[in-house]
Amino acid sequence: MEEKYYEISSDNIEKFVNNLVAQNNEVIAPKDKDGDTFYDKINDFKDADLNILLSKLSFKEYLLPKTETLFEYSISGSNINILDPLENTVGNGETDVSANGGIGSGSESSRKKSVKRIIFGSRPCDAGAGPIMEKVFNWDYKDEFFNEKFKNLYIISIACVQPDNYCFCTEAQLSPESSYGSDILLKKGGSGYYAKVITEKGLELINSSSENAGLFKEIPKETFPADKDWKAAFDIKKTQGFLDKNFTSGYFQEKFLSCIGCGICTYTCPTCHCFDIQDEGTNEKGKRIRNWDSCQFGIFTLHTSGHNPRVTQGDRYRQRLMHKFKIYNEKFNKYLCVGCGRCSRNCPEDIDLKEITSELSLMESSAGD
Amino acid sequence: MENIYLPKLAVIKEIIQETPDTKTVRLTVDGASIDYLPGQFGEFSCIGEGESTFGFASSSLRKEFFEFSFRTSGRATSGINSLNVGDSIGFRGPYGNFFDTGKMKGKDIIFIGGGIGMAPVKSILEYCLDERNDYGKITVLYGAKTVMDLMYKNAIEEWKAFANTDVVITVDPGGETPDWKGRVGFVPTILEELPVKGDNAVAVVCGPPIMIKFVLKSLEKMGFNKEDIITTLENRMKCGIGKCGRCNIGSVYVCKEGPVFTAKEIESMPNDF
Repeated sequence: MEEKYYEISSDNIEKFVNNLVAQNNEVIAPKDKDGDTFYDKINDFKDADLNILLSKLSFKEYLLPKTETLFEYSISGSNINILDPLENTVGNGETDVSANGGIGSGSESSRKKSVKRIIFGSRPCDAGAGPIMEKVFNWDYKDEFFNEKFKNLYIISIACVQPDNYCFCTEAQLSPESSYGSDILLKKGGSGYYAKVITEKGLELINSSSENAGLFKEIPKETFPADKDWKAAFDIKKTQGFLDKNFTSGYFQEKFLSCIGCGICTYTCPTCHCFDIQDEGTNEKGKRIRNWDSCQFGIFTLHTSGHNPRVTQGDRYRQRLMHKFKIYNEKFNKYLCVGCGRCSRNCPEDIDLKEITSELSLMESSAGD
Repeated sequence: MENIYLPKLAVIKEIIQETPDTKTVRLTVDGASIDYLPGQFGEFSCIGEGESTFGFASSSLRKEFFEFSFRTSGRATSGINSLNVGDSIGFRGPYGNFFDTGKMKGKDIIFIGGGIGMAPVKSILEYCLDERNDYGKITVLYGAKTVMDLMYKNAIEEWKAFANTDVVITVDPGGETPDWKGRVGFVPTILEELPVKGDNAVAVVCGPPIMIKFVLKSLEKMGFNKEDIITTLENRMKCGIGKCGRCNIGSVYVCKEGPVFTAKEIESMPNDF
């Protein structure tokens, strides 16, 4: 659709969010929890913490839960019954997703079918992760577990003003003001916010009631504040160029000697989507589930014979770099990274992805000279 | 809405104890085999214990059942090992690409298998034997660590009965018994001693990664074109359909673009398998 532009005052944005809650939607926003901020359900606009740059985790688990039931089974004698959750679920798909660490209320699993799940106050990097993951879940085989959740996720982002030292969204081909993946992008200014509505879903939120529609004042495109001239500090295509040619480079083995293989980089990454499949239950009933997995674990690729294609932590981090900046790009023409920097911020060894991608880019540049 | 992770239930028709720790399981869905081609694989599970990836071990031209072989090793295979005839196994598939039998017609073929890697080789071998007249001379080279580890003992006798078909069985040095009448030596070593030439010939290889690497070198030495050396790579997989993210070799997803590759294709891959 053609983008539409609005202005909305601070008072009205509060009313808008509270109306969305009152309309029985599940509204999720950055929210303080014991001193850290996570995306979590809010019941009032005032619960949202919109001042922090980035929440501890992205909202990945609302698209790909940490644990998700693929089917349930019951066995009696040689009779096996399999219950397909997709046949029984309409609307939100998986209903037992609760925010952050599974601390959710029972009311979430009884959410009504028509309920929308709305992320309010997403950052542009987190918003960008959805459509990036969507490609993997739909090449060839369609993963309706993901699709159902993605279809029902409405994203209202707020542009960043100042990235921190770990951020590199601009280098990752987004920007602090990118609207990629958002339904509505808000920028601070005027009497509160300027709003760019990018998708029909965004328009649907604004027009969800006549009262909501009245809170937004349409403005001409020119009045919407232009993006700052964000400049990439290095060329990510050169990073890809290095990875194309230097699989056996000693860089990977040396750089990641300090890596302890904890996998926090993949856990906190908005785009890391690799998963494991396990059965859980008794020999009478239980379920097959998928869980977040990590390429940083040795067992990830371990063969039954004991052979492992990726023996060292360097081999494993190289895979992470290859997947994000080469393999995914060759298949989908995007990078599997939004530059949020969470992997670096949370790394116990201060392994910094911005520094690494920048170094690889520079090495490629100097090799080309 | 289709659930791509939902298994069908296949019924166990027959179980063959191949060696002390390996079995071949023959399955049917609705009383018959399913549509697949040699080289493809499936996700087989003991419901409640877990799912594992196995290549088909049977000729897809045989319509009464399909089979796979496994070694009892972890939780999922221990579960499968505990099942009996008449029990059900969860099955998803078939997935992946397959052997191009059109390209093999009219040519001599050498089939080379190591250990349980013989399973997918058996599938394409028996497919070719089922249409024996379409192919030239067939040589089978199958190696196991010890005599006790040799699988497919009954099938081997069936292969030997075909005309213009040589079957060579070898065990690793030290793996022989006093009454062993087959060869002793590693697969690549025995291979180079066989009267096989690369002209108008195709080689099909599967086994442990280290064996594949050496066999590819031997075959090139024997005059095989890289395009005519076909192997199947069995990396660890979970989903089998390009999502779970672990089976790739460089940019190639073994589950989707493989598992069947030519030596020429493998040559362009990084050493990540």
